Amino acid sequence: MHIDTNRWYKILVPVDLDEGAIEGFFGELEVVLEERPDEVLIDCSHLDHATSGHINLLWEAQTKCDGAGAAMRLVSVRYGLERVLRVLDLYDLFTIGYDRVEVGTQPRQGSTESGISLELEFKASMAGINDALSRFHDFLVRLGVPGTTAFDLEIVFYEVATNIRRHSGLSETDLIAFTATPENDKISLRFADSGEPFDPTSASIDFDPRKAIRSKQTNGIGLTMIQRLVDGIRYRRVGERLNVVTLTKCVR
Amino acid sequence: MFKTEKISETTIVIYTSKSLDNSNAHEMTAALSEAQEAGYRYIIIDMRELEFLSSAGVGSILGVLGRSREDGGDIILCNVRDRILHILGVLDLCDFLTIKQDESAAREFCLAKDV
Repeated sequence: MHIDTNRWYKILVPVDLDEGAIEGFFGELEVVLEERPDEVLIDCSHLDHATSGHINLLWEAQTKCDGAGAAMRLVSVRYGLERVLRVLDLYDLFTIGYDRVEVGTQPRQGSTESGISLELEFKASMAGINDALSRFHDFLVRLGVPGTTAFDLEIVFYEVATNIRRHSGLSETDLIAFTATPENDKISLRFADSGEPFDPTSASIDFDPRKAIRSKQTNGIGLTMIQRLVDGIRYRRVGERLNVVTLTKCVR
Repeated sequence: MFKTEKISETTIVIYTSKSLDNSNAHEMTAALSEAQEAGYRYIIIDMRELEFLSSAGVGSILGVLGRSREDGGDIILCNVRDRILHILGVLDLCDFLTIKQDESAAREFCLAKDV
């Protein structure tokens, strides 16, 4: 499958490299290259374990893109593939980066004093949130954040984003800006949206399980989860239009 | 829709998918309510596939658990992965939910309670 948006295309690398899958991949690449794209994204998200067949396939794709004058970028690269590319001294021969999330999003990889930050803009739709969550997951994997902490951060991301969607009055096409910035032994998450004011720190975290079961509670659980899963949370209303929520969590 | 399996006249198993979140929490609530309406006092939620649990997912269970207990039954969670237990623990829920190691232990619990 490829996505045709503003002269870039994305093609998924198949896990099983039988003859049909390889033919399908290169057939798709050929069609894409005929469109003379600016960039071809090769989605490696399914490659937890890369074989020599996958490396050959990527190399051949790179050669074809070079020949067609199109830039090629590997996205959602997992550790297994990254390790193999490094062992084979091929890592620097490919361009590796973050994915585009949806039409109109502009993820960037920027340097900070102590590492790499992830910046995303995603639509306030469930599809936009889920797609951005997947990119955030990849980012945490690449950073080497320990499993439980990474899971906590993903839950926090999901709960904050769905709370914004639910309470801010944004439409499905409005954007939420997100930045994740590792700093020494902590990571900071910043969400910004232009919806109605909503302060997630205003809710009480006095969640009483016994009472929740008795009263058949279904709401307000997300804010408790957010507040208990992070070490710090701050809300600011900037001017008339912008909500900014900043959360920090120790990752040591 | 979640897969279900009738164990006895009073016990049914509901199998979750990979995630229980905003996209399907309402379906879980509906499945649990339907089972309660059908007279199943014991509902086992088999979480072997579950990798992601949001607050909406937690709410889908908490919202109907009280009714099962009021009817003399219970909702039993089994095959719960560590990361899901961790989330339930963050909410201090582990001591207030019936959680069994696997489906066999959950079935035994229901059988013992139902005599």
